[in-house]
Amino acid sequence: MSQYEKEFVILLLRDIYGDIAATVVDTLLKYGRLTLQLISRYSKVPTSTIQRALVPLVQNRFVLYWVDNNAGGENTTYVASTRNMYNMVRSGAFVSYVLDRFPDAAGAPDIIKNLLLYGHIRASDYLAAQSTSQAVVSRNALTLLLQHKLLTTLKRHEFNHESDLYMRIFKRRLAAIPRSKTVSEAKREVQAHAEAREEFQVLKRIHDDINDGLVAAANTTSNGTYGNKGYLVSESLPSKTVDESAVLALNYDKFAVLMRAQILVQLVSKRIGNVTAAVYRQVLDCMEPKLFRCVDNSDKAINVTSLEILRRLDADIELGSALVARSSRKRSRSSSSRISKRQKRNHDREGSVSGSDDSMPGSDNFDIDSNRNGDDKRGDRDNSEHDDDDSADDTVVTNSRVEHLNFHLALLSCNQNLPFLKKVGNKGGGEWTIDFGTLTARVRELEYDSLITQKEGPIACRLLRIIREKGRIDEKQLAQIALLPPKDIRSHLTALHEIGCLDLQEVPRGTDRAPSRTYYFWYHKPMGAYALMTQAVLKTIVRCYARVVEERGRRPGVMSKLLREDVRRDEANMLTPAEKEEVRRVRGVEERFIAHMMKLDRLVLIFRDM
Amino acid sequence: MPSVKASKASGSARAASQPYTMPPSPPVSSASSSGSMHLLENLSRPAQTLYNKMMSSMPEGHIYTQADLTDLVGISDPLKLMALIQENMNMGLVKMLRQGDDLCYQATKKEDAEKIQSMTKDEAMVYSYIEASGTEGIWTKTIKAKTNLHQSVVQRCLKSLESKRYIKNIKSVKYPTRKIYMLASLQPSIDVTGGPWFTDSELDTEFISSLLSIVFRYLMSESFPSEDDKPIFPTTSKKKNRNSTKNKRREEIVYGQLSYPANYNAYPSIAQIHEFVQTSGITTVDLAQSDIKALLDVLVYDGKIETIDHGMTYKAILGATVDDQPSAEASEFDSIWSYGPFL
Repeated sequence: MSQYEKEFVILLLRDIYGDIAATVVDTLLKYGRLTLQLISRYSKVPTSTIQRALVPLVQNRFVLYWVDNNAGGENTTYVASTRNMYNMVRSGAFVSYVLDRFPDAAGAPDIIKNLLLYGHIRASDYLAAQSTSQAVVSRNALTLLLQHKLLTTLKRHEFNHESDLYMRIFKRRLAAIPRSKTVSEAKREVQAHAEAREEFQVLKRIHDDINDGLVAAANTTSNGTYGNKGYLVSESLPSKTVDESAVLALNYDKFAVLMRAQILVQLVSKRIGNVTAAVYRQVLDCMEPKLFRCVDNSDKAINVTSLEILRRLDADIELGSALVARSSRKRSRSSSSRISKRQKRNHDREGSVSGSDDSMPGSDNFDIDSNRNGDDKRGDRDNSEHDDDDSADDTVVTNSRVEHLNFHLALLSCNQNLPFLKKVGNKGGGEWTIDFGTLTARVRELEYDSLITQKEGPIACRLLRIIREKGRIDEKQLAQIALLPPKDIRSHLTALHEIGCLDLQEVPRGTDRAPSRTYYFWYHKPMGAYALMTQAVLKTIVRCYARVVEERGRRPGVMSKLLREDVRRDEANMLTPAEKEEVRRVRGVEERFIAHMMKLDRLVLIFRDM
Repeated sequence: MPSVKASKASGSARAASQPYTMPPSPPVSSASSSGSMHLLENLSRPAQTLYNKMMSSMPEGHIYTQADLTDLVGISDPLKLMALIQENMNMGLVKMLRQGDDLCYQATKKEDAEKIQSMTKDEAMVYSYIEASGTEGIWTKTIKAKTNLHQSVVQRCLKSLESKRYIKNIKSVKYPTRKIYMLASLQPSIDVTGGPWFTDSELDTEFISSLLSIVFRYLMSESFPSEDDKPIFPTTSKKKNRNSTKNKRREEIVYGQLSYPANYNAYPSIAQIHEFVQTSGITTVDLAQSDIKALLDVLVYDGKIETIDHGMTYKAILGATVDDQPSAEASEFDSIWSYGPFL
């Protein structure tokens, strides 16, 4: 939890929930865990006022509480959760994502907005508050959002802080292990910790179940597909509907997964191309139901097969046209004898390793004819194992599409420096997985590099990359590798040192620490550097938001007029032209800064949450 | 093989195992050529014969043992032979070397002997050390330490030798502040000049950056398909027959991606890039493959190219540009740094 994150959430609360809420959270962040009385004492606000302010904060889980039954009297304590408050910054992106993703689900954006307002709602309450026709639409939307895990159910314990929960589990576990003379107390505790950690993991993954918050629909489901007995329309999920007794909240963990997928797809389209990016999007979509959070997802690797991907891929995407063989004309232009020798060598090598490396379909990509033959052969084989009720002609097309698809998948997996995909088997036309740990680490590196390039220039970035690869390196060698004069690189290195990207280590050659007899090694600690970068980004977010608040504050008259109910309903007529101009300008500034905050939040996601 | 050490007597520190590069004689005046005649005339006839035989029977720089010389001139009496050798050595025409425990002899050219004869004793000593340092050159301080001469004497010797154009002052890349001398006729070695990247002992950044951009352009042209490359999968007629709305939709999502497949194996290797640079006539400087590798490494660190095939071949990265012009995307990102305080 950083200074700037705190500053930001307080600013946000002051803007949305008012001064008292901000003061309460400020006090909690300053002093840590407090009881109501203590909050009142430190903040000099009467307890009844604080109680009123705490209600929405607890509802939104901005403040978590804990009732300790063992403590007498004053037994409820409060802790502020910056992470939950920070997530508010993503609310706009959340709504727009839902709008993009489910353009047909009419009620969905309203549900998200309501959840942003109330923090959590019971499904039945939400539906009851609406007219019958609206309720049907909303029910469908709720079901849809739950199926996609964008909503999650809330259990009572989720209003408590994790450490409290863990300690309770730990104490219970410890009490369950009998004291004995043969087992030492320390051993008992270790065992209890191990058990508690296990139970805690289960508790954390309690919402990972596919039917979380859903119950089987009693009769005809309202989402348009027929749940006739024994027969399900193939593409619809088993008919489920929202469990009305469930308490629902937004699932920001899942949202982060979806944002990460977007970032990865963007990167593919930048590095490889749009068609492959479209393929990659499908790969991620196929995996998505099993991805619940970005880090610490589950212990099992998630595999998808080419056929699965193909089934979901938009049939209009033409896969084949993006792949080309080198033309013979071009080949003859360059010194042909040498290249043909190389090819031969490569062919030999490919032949010898084909057992392990047959992820590359069609070993001879230069000879188009042989490739077509390969296609057909493959098509025949696939035909037998994959029964489609399309016409025979169509099957051939589909199968060559598998071929095309595998070319794209191979393209994604071939780059050792940026492994978007990993091949793990040959089941279902090829089985693939993504090593998110490695991939996201690399994405962070790339993002960091591009930030450094923009801030300090390409030379600084070149030096950073050398240092990253070499570990620790002294200036002389650095200059030699970078092919730059030593006196030129020093200023870049100190600039990078200043922003926390590089560190310097001294290694004295003798017992005296004379500077002339000392090695100076530059090195780069990624975690530290990223953390500092995140802080800087958060700081910028705070400043942007403060500026927005300030802009509004400078025009109190027109801003307070905007809040009036009648003005809200009819802005066009209730405002004078001068006021309109002023509002337009404020909104322009607001828009610019908030858009900028979104861009910065993307960096926070990459460096901290991904 | 026993090492050959120069004896103190000959005053030469040259190791005989080192390839002998005899300096072509510096511009010699007519007076000095007559002087060289004079040098030989000073010798007795047998001594002259010995010298001539030593020069003519074997290629220049050959090392003779005493037994060799006995065979050469047919004088078996060591004392007589010694006298002849001594005569030659006095004139500087023969050098004495030590190989293991044996003494050996080497003839020098008349011109060189003449040169040394015309020098003062101190000058000759300084000259011998400079000569021994070969293409590496020698630092003035080292000369002083080895000769045991006073600083001012060394300075005077160097000055006079330089004015006669026997030696020259060179700049070393490694030690830019040191005064280093070598024979005027030699080319400084790569260690001293710093290799192809240095011009006048300074890193030639412009040369490097132009080479970088040329290599990058070449890789760019080799890494991505162009118009005349054929698609691997020619579009089937069936696909073209789809109705027009679908076609339109497809055009929206296609895209203009052209990629070589994952197993494409004609990305250039170092050898190919090396050949390209050499044959393109961009530079007259002779670049080794290791120099090209250094260039490619820099491009990799610049994030413009990447290695594939475990570093065997190279490929440009899509979207990289030659001269880091901020793309449209980058300028959008610039605003991240332009708003508010940062870091």
